[in-house]
Amino acid sequence: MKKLLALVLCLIMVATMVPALAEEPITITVWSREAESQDPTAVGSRFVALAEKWNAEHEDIKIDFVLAQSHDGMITAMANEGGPDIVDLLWQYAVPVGQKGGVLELSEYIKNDAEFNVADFFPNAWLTCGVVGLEGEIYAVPRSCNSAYMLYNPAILKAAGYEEFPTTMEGILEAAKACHTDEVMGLNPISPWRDDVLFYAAAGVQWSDAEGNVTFDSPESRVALKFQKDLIDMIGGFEAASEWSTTYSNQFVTINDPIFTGGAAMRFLFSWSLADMFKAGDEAGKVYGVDYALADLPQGMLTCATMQINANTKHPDEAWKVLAYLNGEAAMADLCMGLENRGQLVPRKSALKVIQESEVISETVKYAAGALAEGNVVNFTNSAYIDGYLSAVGTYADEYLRGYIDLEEAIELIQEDAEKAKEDSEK
Amino acid sequence: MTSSSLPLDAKKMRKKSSAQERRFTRQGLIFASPWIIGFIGFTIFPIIMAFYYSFTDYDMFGDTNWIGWENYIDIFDDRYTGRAVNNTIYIALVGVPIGQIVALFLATLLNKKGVKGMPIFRTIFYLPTLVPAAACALLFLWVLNGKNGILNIALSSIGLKAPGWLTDPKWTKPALIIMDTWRCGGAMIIYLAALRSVPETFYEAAALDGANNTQKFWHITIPYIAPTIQFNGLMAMIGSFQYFVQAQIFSSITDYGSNAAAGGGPRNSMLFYCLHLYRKAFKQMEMGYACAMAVLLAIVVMIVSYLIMYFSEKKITYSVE
Repeated sequence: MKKLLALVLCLIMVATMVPALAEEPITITVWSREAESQDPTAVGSRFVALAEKWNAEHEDIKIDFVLAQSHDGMITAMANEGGPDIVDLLWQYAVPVGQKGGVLELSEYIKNDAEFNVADFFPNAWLTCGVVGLEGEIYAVPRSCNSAYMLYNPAILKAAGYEEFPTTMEGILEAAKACHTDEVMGLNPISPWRDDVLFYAAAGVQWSDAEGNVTFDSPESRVALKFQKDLIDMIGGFEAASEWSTTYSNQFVTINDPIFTGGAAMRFLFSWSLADMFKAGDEAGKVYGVDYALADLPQGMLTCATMQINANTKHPDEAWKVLAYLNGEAAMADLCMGLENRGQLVPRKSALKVIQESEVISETVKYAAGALAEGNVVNFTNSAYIDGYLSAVGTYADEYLRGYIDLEEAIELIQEDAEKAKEDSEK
Repeated sequence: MTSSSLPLDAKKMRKKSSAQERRFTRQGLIFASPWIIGFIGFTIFPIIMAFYYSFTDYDMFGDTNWIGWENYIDIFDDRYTGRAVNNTIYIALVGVPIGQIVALFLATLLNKKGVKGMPIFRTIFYLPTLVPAAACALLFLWVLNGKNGILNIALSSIGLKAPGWLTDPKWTKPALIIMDTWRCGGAMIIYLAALRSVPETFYEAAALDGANNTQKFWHITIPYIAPTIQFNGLMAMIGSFQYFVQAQIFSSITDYGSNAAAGGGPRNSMLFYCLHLYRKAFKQMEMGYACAMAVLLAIVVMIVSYLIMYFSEKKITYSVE
């Protein structure tokens, strides 16, 4: 009897141990800067839903998607040989951190994963992820796009003699001057902020050549800087332009946007505001009876939010599978619907097509998706010294626009500082 | 009388006292050990490591290589270091005295006797200190708005030209000083406590000698609270060398472009030493360089603190005979 009891107890112990001995699924942790939201159509909520869908369909790999993480927090965790498997660093840090060994180089994964369908991405999106794009080392996967457009009030332009929106930098400048009065802002180059990429992209600047040499000193850079300066002079100086910007920027993308109230002829609009602009414009049309329109810049600017694989990950292959899934065709076809299904630009052509064929997304966003799909956009070349380069552009463009230095001095100083940043990064 | 010549009972007592003292010391250390461990682990060790990293090319991810004094030399070659140091010295030499004078003035007013509702006034003047620096900076972005800010509306209403506090590089640091002065309640409370400790008999004696209020203030109050002035001034000076939060928030809103996260404001007028250090550490990931900046800052703060203490010691009386 005792022996029988001992045998039964042993069998029970073995039976309870079996599940424990079974293989635990691998958990891939993802940290994202997207905000937490109760709205299921918010980008963060969509990512969490995608992760839950994956978890329901997979037993061997589970995704733990964490929202509202900061870039600095991710960098600190990674630097301490920890952190999640997949991170969502600010776009300009993918290459510098990658070249220091902080995130994995992904070109082999991308090349060997046919399901990932790299051809579905438009090529310029990869310039945010590596110095020379897909031909070289790749440290990230692009997950969303941002571009810039011209938003304008057709009635004000028509009154100034412009039936169509100009298609060149010189044309835009002349139109702005023609529309500008004491009551109407023609075009403010530092509103909503003075961008370090937009004007140079629009003018066709090449920030570096194929060998990686800094090539800021060019006719196109002079065009870009002078364009901003001429607009500043039209407004009455940098202080006046800054005042207007700080006063009216908080009314942008609302019913009281100066474009709707007749306070501005045209201004720059970034793609993340497109859907809100459409909503505000609809209301403004009912209240003010005004119309608004969107136009392309002579050459568009593109920046992409990206995701990377932490070099500290213990499961690189599994992390790639998750990364490829979260940025795959099916995921982006969902993500591109955006907040409140108002659309969000993403770097896959198939997803841009979903936007263009959608019955709920506005014509404004469809227009932007179409323009992006055509691919006439340029990026600021990502590199190990990108922060130093952007700092140089920001600092000396500011000095020039305030009138403290002249154009040639600004170009020379930016070129020098950027070259020094490149040298320092190679030490 | 040596220990060998002590009576046996006295020797036993001394031995028992030493053992008791050692036991008490041991027990004290055990009780204090959580703090000691924390202090060593979270203060001393990071200081030592920062000192070590200042001689390396540590960039948070790659290999750490010894490069000697290169980081320290690069600091003096850096175009932005000069601007950062100038901005920091401005706050130290202009902002600190203004803040202390305003705090002392308010404390003097709040020390008046016979004013009804004085506790309410003290609370009102102290409340801004409870507002976190970051929240205060966000609030003042609107107070100092060039067109719609209440400060400029008030200035314009009395016929004064309202400056671009956030956009004109000449006025950004004065804007920060205005904001910091609004939060001088902490120093004010300390001055108030010091003022209340001045014996009334001194004022009575001075009154008998025919001294007026101004003379009493300069010849009695100020010398008596001089240690407090020294303490407050020194702490404020040390704080000014580490000026960061307010500048980062102001410049991240007023800055433009892709570097908005940690720029230096219009014409780098708000690029302070610690903001530059932060930028080097976390934006450009040159942690070794940033550690060298931190070591230099610590040395400068120590020297300045020593000089302040040394030159003020001769003028300050710590006790009343």
